[in-house]
Amino acid sequence: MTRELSYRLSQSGRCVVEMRGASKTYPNGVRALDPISLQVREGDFATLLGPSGCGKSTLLRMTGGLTSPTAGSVALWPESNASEQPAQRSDVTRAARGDGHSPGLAFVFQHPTLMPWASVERNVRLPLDVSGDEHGVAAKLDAALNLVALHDFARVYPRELSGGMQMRVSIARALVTEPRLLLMDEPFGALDEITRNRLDREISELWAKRALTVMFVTHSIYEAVFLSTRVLVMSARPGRIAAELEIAEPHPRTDAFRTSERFARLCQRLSAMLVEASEDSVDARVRSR
Amino acid sequence: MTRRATRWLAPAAVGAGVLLSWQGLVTAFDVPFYLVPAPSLVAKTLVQDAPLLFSALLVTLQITALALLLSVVFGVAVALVFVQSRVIEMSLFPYAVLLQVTPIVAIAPLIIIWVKNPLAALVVCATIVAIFPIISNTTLGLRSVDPGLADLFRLYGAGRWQTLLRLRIPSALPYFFAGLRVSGGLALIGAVVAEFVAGTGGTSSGLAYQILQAGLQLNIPRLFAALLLITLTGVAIFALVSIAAHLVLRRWHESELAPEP
Repeated sequence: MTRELSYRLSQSGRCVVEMRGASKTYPNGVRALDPISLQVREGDFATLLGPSGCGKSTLLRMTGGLTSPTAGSVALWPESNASEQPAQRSDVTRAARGDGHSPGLAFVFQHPTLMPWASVERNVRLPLDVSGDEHGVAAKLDAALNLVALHDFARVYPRELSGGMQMRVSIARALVTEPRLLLMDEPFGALDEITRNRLDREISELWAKRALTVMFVTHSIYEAVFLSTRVLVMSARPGRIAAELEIAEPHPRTDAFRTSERFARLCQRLSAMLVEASEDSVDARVRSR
Repeated sequence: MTRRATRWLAPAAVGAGVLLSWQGLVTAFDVPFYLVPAPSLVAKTLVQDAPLLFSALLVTLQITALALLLSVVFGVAVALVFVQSRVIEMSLFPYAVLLQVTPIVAIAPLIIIWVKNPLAALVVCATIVAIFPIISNTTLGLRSVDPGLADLFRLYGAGRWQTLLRLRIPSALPYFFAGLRVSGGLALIGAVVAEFVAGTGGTSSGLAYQILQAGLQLNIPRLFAALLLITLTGVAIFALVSIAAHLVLRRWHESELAPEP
């Protein structure tokens, strides 16, 4: 079953991510993603929401150039950059060589993924060190540490920090290059709810303040509603985008929004869409909930 | 009593107990010194034969240190070559294993014939014994990179060198030190074994040669004294390597964290 759905909701901004029929089949024959076509525009906070194993992480990694699509194409800033034509981007050998590197891009992983042998400061400045960009390192580092309120912990080692603080370091590292597109793969999945809510709020503020474009992966309906401008609902095996919901609530969002009736209604709608998506899909185990 | 004090006092008490009963038993049963010398006699011999034994110790130390140094230099170099490509590793690893499984006693005579300088011959033998743990552990360490961090380096366009220096080598350090701990002991064993083989040919004057001579002359107290020096050397090497590992890893690696009180 190959279904292609195309989503173009926020037509306002420039196109940042463009996928055209991008699919992923693993060498062992497992089909992770059906052909997917989507656009993410400048200023979007686009969330991929779906059950475990629906391929949302794969979709995000494909966007970041960490894995290449089996067929179809993925392009970042397709309008501005002629050299990054879709056909080239999906070239398997390029991705395998690790040339998928795009300067305006940052990735926050599911785990903090910090270097245990390096202090917070050295972890955060890693992207600058690697790119050899020595211009204004101190100022950028200061700014990134301040954004996540970690300035007093610059010389501390990761293992001396709590899980939430480690995640903050990871976010500071992503922001230090002043990226235009931020990809986040269930960044707060392993944290307790209180910490998670606080970090969600901080990310929401950052997104509004820095005019970021964010692609966010989660399996939490609440998180999706709280953060997003658009939620792409995915279904599993093989993964595909089954539906989309626009969350046209004002930003920055506060804890008051979290307890509002509108929030509850949006969660209900999204929940219903998720159930429908999984009923629709080949694998209907989610229905038994 | 604190945990720290127990850690030192308990083994010290066991050691003292063993020495005292050894002394007591030898005296009580009037065991002849050419069979089992009393600890006091061993100590006396150590002082008496100090010039002979310590110059022998110096020779053995020299061989051990050189062998360990060569093992580290070549072992790490080989590991770095191995991780460049799986094909290289697959082609060469069997020969590293070959080196490891061949008993040094069997090839030492050949090396002693081939290498003219006796000291160099012994160093080569000891290096062959000591190098394998460094190669295998460092290779494993260089490969044991957190896949998330590897992705991150790829994402930021890090080159081969940057990835090696900033990611692979730091990741490999705990593994390297685990290998070094084993290799330190093996370098000493290799030096002693090589000296034994060379000693039967009449060359060299390290501690093992002294043990060999003392055995032939039934000078058992001197044999014990030389044995004591070798053991202490082994302990000292282990302690030095452990301290080095602690200094490098203490701030971040689980193996060097202080235990919870």
